[in-house]
Amino acid sequence: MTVADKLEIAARPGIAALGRFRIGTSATLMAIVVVLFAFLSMTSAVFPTPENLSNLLRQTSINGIIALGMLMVIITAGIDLSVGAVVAIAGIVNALMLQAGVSMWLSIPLTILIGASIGVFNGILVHEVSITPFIATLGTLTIVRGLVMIMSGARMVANLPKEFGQIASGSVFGIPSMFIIWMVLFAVTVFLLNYTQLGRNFFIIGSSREVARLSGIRLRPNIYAVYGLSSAYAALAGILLSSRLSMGVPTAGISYELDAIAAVVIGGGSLFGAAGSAIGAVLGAIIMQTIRNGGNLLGIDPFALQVIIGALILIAVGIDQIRVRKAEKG
Amino acid sequence: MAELIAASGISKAFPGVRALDQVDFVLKPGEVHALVGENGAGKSTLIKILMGVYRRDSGSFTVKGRDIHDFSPQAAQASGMAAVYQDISLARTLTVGENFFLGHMPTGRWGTIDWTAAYDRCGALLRELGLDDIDPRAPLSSLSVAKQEMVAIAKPVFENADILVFDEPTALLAAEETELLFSIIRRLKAEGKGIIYISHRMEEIFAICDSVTVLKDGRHVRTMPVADTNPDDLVRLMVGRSMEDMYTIKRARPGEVALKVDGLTREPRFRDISFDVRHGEIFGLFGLVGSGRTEIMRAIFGADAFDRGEIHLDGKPVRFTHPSQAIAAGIGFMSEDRKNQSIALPLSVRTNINLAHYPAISPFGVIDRTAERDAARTYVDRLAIKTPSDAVAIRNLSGGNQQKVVLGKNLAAKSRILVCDEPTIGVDVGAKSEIYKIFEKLTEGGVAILMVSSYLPEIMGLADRILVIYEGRPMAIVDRSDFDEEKLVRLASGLQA
Amino acid sequence: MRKFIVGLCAATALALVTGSAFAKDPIEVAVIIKATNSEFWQAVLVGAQNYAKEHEGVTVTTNGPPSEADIDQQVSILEDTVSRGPAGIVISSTSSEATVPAIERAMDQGIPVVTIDNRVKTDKVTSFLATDNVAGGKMAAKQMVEELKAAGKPLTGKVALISSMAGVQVLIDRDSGFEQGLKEYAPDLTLMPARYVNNDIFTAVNTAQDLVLSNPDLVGVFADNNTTGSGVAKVLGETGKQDAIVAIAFDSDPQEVEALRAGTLKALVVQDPYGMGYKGVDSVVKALAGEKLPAYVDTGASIVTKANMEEEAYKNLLDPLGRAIK
Repeated sequence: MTVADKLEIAARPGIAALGRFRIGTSATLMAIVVVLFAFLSMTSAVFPTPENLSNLLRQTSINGIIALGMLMVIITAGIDLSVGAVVAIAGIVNALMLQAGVSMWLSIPLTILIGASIGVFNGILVHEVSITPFIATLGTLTIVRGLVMIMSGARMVANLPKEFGQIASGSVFGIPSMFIIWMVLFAVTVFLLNYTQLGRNFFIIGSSREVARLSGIRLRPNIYAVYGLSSAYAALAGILLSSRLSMGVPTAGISYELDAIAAVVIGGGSLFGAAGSAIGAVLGAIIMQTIRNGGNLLGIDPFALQVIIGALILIAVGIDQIRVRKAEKG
Repeated sequence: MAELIAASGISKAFPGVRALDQVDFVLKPGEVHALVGENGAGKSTLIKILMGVYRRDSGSFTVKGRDIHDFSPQAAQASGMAAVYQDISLARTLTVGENFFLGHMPTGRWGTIDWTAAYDRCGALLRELGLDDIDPRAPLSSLSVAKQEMVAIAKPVFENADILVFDEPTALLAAEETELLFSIIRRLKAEGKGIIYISHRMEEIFAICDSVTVLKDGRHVRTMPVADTNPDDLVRLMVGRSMEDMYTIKRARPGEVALKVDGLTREPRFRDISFDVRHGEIFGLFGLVGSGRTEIMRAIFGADAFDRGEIHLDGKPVRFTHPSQAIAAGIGFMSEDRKNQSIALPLSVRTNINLAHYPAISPFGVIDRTAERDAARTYVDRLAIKTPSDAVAIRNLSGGNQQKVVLGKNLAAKSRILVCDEPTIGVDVGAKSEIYKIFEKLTEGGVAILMVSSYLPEIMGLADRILVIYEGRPMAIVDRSDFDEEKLVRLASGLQA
Repeated sequence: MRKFIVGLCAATALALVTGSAFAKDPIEVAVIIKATNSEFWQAVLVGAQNYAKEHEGVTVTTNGPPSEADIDQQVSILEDTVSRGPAGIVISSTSSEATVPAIERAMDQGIPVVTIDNRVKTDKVTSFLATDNVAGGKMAAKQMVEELKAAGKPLTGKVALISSMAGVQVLIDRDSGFEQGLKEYAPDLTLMPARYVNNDIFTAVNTAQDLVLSNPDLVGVFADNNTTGSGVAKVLGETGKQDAIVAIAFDSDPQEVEALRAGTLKALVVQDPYGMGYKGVDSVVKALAGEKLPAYVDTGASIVTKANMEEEAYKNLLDPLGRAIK
């Protein structure tokens, strides 16, 4: 056994437990990112250009933001399938308000609040009605999708004020503002998970609800909070998406929940709860989008690309599992 | 065939720990071989290597004369080996019969499952083993924990395994079930099977085992016939101190009444339970499995509701609807089901010590990470918790050290009253005596301890007074001066003393 | 008896069409669409309803599942409708097979069934009205070549194809028509392999972005529905390449019309869903009157450009919903 292995066994579970950098997983992910970037830079002259890189960051931000919210739910051993639908309803609600002449400085916070309340609704289903998160959020997904169609008449909501469109297309010192917003949320998530009681409660609840309860943690506010946060993040992603497209799109966000789950899982999250990190989710999202971006640049067969992304999810999770088992078996 | 298992020079290292160092072990047919040793002595590691769960670093072993190189749990099973671990690893939602046949259900003519045959065969064996009251068609989860354990014990018998490992099999069993277990073991022995028996209970080793191997700090200390030794010598070999000393703790002078329970009732689990615990006192609650003792503890702690009755804390009436209120009022709780109720297994020792402490160190919800780390270090040091660092996941610690973390968790939360349900369950002799020493210090400092234990030597050794309950009803409160093993057992069985 | 009723209905229809006054019961035509959540199918309904409003004695009832994924639901709607026994049925069947038994039963009962948009696998239908999507794709290719010529560009370089979804027959037809057309009209243009976007507009934007950036010799983009069309237009507008790259898209949602006006899309291939609904009901009425109808009618696709988009006929094509008679 090498020194590195030893370090890893000692460091992995505990540090994962603190929700910090999971050295093993994150190192694997960083290595994948580096290899991907190196490979694409060699094979495509366009890939390393600042223009493509800022495109890439813009493209990743939406899924990246949703994945951060999903991460927190997954840490509590839950799942939130309604995020894609929340993306759509946030885009539509905000666009309708803007069309009605509401200032975006009012419409955006209101929309995030509406998103959060959808999350609290999920929390009520999960905690008070004891519906498993998978089913509860599946129901919410369907309801919200229906609401979106009713509110929008199945039509796109366009002709939004120009300054709203500039939020997503703008950049600061050449860095796309969407990416900056994503990174701000990343920092917020790291803070929540590592530095607050709330974040610690998520890990403890994810490890065992009964242990949490007997340790004096009240489940209700924590469950409401985690689903509320997830939906609020998704709502913000929805607002950004509609800013990016300059319109509210009723069919936006379809199956985005799966991309977000994939990013979290690639990033070392476990559906059994109490594992995962924000940096992992961020790297997971970047890897997935880099492959899509690279596939487009190189003209790789789109179906083969799907196979590659699916395989990547399995390989990333598989390697992690094998590593953990090896550490346990010695 | 001379030997079922012959292992020599087995070594195994984990990061920072030499778990096994050149250990020899031999199991003969028709032998019940006790494996004893302190916390971290290497018993579990040795068993896991023999069962193919871990890979050895060096050394060799044979199973039934065959050299083993690459072993796996499946290969072990195929060689006729079976282990019954403390945590029952059966499918809880399936029936007893299905658990017996897992994956190998008998089939009828059309390849369909022959349920009648399955349940008949299962029922026949259960009757044979004296487990008549277990219905093969009952889902496992509908049985009490003790009955589930009995099913887990019967399963390898059913599978006709000839090398059986029992790891702390009696931890969850009451006296009569332990007797049943012993009769099963005698029967297996008579059939020429080999049994490895791991237990911390000396009287069991002397009741059922033929030979004993003592491990200490990963080394093989001695293997000898049980007849050639006695409990005191054995404990001395294991820990370097005798058993007599273990329960001898300094008694604090009890102060004011800390906790007063009056007429506590929750139908149909318990009724009219009244007692008080003083500061500095250890108050015992004794009863058989299912007598309602755990339920009483949980009700006091606010984990479950109760119908009527009153609880006073330092003279003031309280009624908790959530454990958080009990914790805030200074009550600590150690559950008998450590892994599912007391600790967050995948999380770090540091997080676990602070589990109930976060509200106190998180102004505006932001954790004071220095206070968090200090609390963890303080209790790792003070309770001598053996761990490479406080960042290690608690699942990697031994049972004794996990239990010390649970104590640390309650101390960090400044508990003035400690409610302990089986505080030394799954804990080895060494850690046990450490936990008793901690109790001694706590009572000295005025902490009131309310303790449930089904292990008589322990509760008699530690408690100042004992309330005996039978089927949820109070039988008597016995003073330390009147402690008598037979009397307590009679009371616990519903007989007047 | 049944024959008699049908005869009576036919007589009534004839009477109505010819303006006779003795007819009492109106002819009820049931119109069943693929999905209620789409503007395209709403336009079909507008066409059908307008027909009823223009023709006294004809009523139209409309029904359809919420989305094209609900094939089962559409089959049950059809079965219920057949049992109810309207004078005639117009249906755009999502599945080519699942609705066959119910359609045949209706025909056996003497209820004429006109299928629109999607062909079902039976000969027992009164008539079939649809857009020839292969021809539509070909028209797009022809228009692209003409736009390139008009801009004075050589007919070399790459053309990208952004398809909304893989495995959808209508889109496959459009794409293969486009490919055939490009080969025919400008063999020196290279058609790149299709990129699929799961009908997600954000993915369409991302894909267009990547294609435009990585292919400096890109001269044209074909987007085969409204989602991809809007996405492509967005990217060309942002990168200012609307004149360097000729983009042509199918359909006509408001964003595409806007893009046409702004020049980020050079042409739209527009079907006539309004016409499908209108002509569908008309065919039923004619069939009831005993007229012999052709088995297949192409409702046609049209090219709309910035130049002709203000003309009345094209305006109507671009905004069929605006034609609803109040």
